[in-house]
Amino acid sequence: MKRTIKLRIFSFGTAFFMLLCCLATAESGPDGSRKSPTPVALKAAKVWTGTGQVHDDALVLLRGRQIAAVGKDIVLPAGCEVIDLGSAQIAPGLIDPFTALGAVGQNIEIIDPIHPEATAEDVFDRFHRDFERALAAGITSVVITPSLDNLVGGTAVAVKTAGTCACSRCRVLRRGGPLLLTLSEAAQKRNRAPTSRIGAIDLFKQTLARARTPAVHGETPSPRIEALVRGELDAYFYASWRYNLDTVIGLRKEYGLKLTLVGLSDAWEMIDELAAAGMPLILGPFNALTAERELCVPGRAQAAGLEIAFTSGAPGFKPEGLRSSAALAVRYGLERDAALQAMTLHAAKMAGIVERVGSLSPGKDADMVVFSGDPLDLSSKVLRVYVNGTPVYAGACCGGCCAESEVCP
Amino acid sequence: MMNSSLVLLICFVLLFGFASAEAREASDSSGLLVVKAPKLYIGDGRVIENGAVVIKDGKIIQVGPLSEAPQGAAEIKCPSGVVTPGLIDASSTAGLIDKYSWTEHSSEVVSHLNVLDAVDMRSRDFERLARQGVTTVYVTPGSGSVVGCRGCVLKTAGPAGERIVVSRGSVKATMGRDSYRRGGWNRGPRGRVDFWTRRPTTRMGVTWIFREACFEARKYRDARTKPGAATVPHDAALESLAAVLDGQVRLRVQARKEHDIWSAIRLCKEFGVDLVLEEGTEAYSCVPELKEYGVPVVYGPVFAYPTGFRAGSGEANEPCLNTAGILHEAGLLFALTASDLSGEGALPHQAGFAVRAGLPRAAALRAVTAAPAEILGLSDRIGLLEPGYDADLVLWSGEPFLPTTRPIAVVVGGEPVHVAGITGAELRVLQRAAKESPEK
Amino acid sequence: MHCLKLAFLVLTAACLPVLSVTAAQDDESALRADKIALKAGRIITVLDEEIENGVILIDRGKIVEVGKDVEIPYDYWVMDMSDKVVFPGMVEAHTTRGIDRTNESLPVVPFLSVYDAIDPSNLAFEDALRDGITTLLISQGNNTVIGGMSRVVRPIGRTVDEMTLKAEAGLKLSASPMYGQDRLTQMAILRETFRELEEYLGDLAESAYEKDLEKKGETIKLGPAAAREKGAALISDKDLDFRHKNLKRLADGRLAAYVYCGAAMDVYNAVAFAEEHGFLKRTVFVLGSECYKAVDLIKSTGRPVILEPSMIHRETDPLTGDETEVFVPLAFFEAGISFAVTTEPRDVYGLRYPWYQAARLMRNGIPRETAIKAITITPASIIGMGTRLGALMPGYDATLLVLTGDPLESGTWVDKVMIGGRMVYEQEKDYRLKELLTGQEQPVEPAPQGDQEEKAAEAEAAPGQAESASEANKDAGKSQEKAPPSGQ
Repeated sequence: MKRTIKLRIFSFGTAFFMLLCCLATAESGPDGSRKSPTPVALKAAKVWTGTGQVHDDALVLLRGRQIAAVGKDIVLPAGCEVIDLGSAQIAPGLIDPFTALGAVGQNIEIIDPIHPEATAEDVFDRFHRDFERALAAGITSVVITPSLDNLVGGTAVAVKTAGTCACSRCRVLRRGGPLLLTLSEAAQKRNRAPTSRIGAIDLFKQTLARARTPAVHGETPSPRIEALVRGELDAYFYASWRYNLDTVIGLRKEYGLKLTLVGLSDAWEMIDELAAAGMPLILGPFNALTAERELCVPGRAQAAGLEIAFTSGAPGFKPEGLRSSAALAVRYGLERDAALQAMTLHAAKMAGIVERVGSLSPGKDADMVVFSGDPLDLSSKVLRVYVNGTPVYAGACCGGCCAESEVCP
Repeated sequence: MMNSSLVLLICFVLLFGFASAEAREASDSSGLLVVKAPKLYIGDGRVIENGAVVIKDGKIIQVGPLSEAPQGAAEIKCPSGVVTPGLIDASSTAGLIDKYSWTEHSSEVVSHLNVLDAVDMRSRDFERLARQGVTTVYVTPGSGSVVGCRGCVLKTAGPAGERIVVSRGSVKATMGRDSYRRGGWNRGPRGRVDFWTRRPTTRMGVTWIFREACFEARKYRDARTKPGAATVPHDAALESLAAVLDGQVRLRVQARKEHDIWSAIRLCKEFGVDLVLEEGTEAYSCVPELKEYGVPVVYGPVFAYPTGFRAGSGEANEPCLNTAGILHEAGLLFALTASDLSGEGALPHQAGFAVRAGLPRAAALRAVTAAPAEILGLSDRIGLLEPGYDADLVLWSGEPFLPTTRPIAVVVGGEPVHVAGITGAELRVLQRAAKESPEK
Repeated sequence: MHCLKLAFLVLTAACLPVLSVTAAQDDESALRADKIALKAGRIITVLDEEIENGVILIDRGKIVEVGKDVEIPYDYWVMDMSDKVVFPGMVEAHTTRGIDRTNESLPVVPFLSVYDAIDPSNLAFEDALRDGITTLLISQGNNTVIGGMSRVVRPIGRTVDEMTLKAEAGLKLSASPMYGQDRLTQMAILRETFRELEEYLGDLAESAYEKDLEKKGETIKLGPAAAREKGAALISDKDLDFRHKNLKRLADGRLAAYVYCGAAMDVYNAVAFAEEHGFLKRTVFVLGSECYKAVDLIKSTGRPVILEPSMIHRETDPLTGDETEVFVPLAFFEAGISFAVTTEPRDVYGLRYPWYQAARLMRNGIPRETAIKAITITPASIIGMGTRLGALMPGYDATLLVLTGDPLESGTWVDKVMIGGRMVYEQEKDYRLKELLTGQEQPVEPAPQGDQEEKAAEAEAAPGQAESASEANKDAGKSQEKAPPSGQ
């Protein structure tokens, strides 16, 4: 008896203590020191909010982990610490909405082509060194997806590239979505169905049809597919080549799916059809080898009213590719504002994390990047990155090689 | 020939260019396209000298002598030439994305799948075929499965929404070696028994699979029409096959060698199913059986030495150049096809070679127009120059199937899709002008 | 008186059987006669006007006269082909028919000759007769740097010697890289070969001069360079070793050069090289489809070209994906360059026929006259037989086709083939063709006695040789029962 009670007190006490720690360490900086929730305001030459608004010589007021206010003439609370960043420019933390960065090992189970219950969170390695590289590129949030070897690969997980607490609450932004669907040669295998596009399309149609109509004798439909077909679960659809894109547009029309398109080689041939379908697009990565007709796609898509975002292609490509993709797109016709929104607000929307990140708006997480100049100018360096209001990365140049105007923490 | 193309082009540009002006006059020949030529080959043997075909809204509305053609309408004409219905290739491999996507290997019986899913509708193959005068194709499924997927009928050009004529056509079955000779696909790694090790590896296995599938389909169909049908799990493949057994869906069987053709007929007799024979390399020696069972044949290409996927099959070593002539003399319904050939003028030249080997010229025209239309079940829509039919036609520079003749203009669904001597960009301008002209 | 009458009667009686036999043997003898009068419904001379209802007089294998109103001498056997068209035998200016492996793996082999590789019983020659090709220049393939000697043959004869029309028809070269090699290496090997030839000739000349002086008992007073110069006059072909003999002939312009250029850039390399090494004037360009882009350069050399069978060049724009198709012969025709058209014997049905290729020329806008020449006199001239073959004119060989209709119509068949005044093919006796057309096995007639060389190409007695073109064609002996289906 006594022992059981002692055990109960012991376990309860431990749990309480851990909870306290969680709450307490929630405000720790990366060096473990406690930081009090003193209001901090950052002053910069330009503040890009990510919603289309740009403020010159403006302030960003932080309160704790969140943004309190943004603007030129905002009222600063008493005791507010103002950090003057000089000629630097602040933008929302960049978001890569489609990546395998930070996933360790095989991020898919390929035995069954339809595998909706899998989740990429199971392969998320929060200690992965690639996250440092992502931060250095100004990326504060990424969506880790299963790989493209299944028709239905499971759900992605949206995470921040830096953590400011020991628990996962602030690191994982969204779990259980979006769902990944693939229609490409990668999902056609030699040693399991489907072996061809014919089989792939049939499996898709069967899966979606079965989820929509009531269960036939003996079948237990997947809740995630059901949610997909009801329009409650959003999905990424990876489709390359014009014939696959045609099919996806058809499927969406028939089943009313909430889709974001990824992949999209050949999109240059199909802008009109894509515009009519109205789905957001994740494009890239673009580099010096990309054909001009593909580089024109973001500009044309945006002019046709579509929402676009970019992917860096990490970890196969460097995370820096996110900004260079956007910059190349601007060079080939995308408007600058739209390019920045693509890396921030629209990417957040597509990932389903827009309530927390994607723009510098009051109430959202204070994830920001301090650039030495215009974020879309590739010669601008990343000076500092804030996640949850805490500086988690300081630019590599600090230590003596920068110009005076640049700021070091 | 070059001069006449110029004449043609000028006619086009002038008439389409001024179309908008004419629109305001609200003449009663608005929205019409007239094709004029010294000879019209209707497709059923009739020839009209100095005739005109009148087209409206993608359909032929009148065929007759020049004198009866409406005046003032947009026109295509050639001072020396022949107009025929658009050619139909009843066994094409046009537009297939790649050979890997053509056959689903995960099962031997895949009659629920559609070859349309392996077709890239924007493939340049279709443009090339249209330039050669082929306006409709039946895309045939791969022969890697014993009971394969369903074919589709497509227009090679024309208004985008009307290109798919039949999306789920006949079920294809294959007798012979094709389903088991492609080694690597049918063997598991390191020879283990697994997903890839399966029947058949012999012709006996092939016919067994076919019979088993038909038996299962029959059982399935019967079970679904009895009480308790709801407990029978849905099987899409058997469903398709059941439709074949009921005669609602056609069956096409590929067979090259004589004994494979006999097997096909024997099996179909057993289940009371009609079939269309595809390939039929040795059909010339099966004429009595084909006649008795009433089997139409889709035959082609004409060859003495096989090439392409035929060459490696080992089943094409006893061809007969005059197969078409022999089938014609026996009174069988047959179509000529260029199959996987992609050279200059493939189907029209196939017809030319069939004539060379002994097929009468009129029968050759029928074999690429009205006959394939009948085999595809579309004989009230394509294959003839008749009022009510689709406006698919070809204007040739001379007698159609000669190697010196070329298509001057090709019209599909009432839309000019090829005019000799002008670039793709100029053609697009013409097409747009045709759409904006008072044909609305 | 009595004796005279009797003698006369006896003489006449004696002559009668001879006469009747002769009459009955009219056709047979005509096939073997030295003097033949061919009456034809239409004669296409190629170099002259077409003749309706004309006559060709042939004497010992040569055409003596061609015309409409030609008097037929009494001693000529008359062959009546008034319902047929007579056309020159077609000429294939560059082919690898009849040899199985077309290239050695060594890059420089000017000492080889196709003589050793031609198989007279190859089905390709039988097909050639059937299709109306009466002259072929057989050469090595394109996968070489300097290949071996080509040969002009007729598709009849039991041995290569019997087939040969011209034993040393030219060397094969390639400016296009050999398989596994690049252009850098290809051109380097070409240059090195000729540099080595120079060195070899120099050494040979020097030692010849020295030997000559020795013979005369004099001592050498000149330096090596001068010695070589003097010695050059002392050496001749027979002093050269097998490796260098043909190269020297080539460099002296005494041998034709068939230079293969796969891409337009190869033409530039080929022209520069041939010019530098003295054989541009004997060069014939064998071109890949892209070479139409180099048409101006080729025109400036004044040399003829041989085109590959597809005659179409397709390019896809990497930016837009648009496909452009160029009909290659048109570029050469418009530039006024002499071009010969070739066939692809491995094609399913179409490109294997010279008449089909010529018809394609017409289809794409080239005039009939040029199209007909491209399969007759032009290739004949290119291979150096332009005064003997490719046209029906007095003095030319009686190598001709009797066709059932116009040569460029697809319904026309070759009815008879005459080579050098002898009938070597008759479609009526072509059992293989009959089988191909009817699908039924034909009874095989034993080959007639004597004059085997004339009937060799059409004899059905020999088991069919597997055509290298089709690995599926396993018809070992049509006279046997149908072969069982090929196994696993």
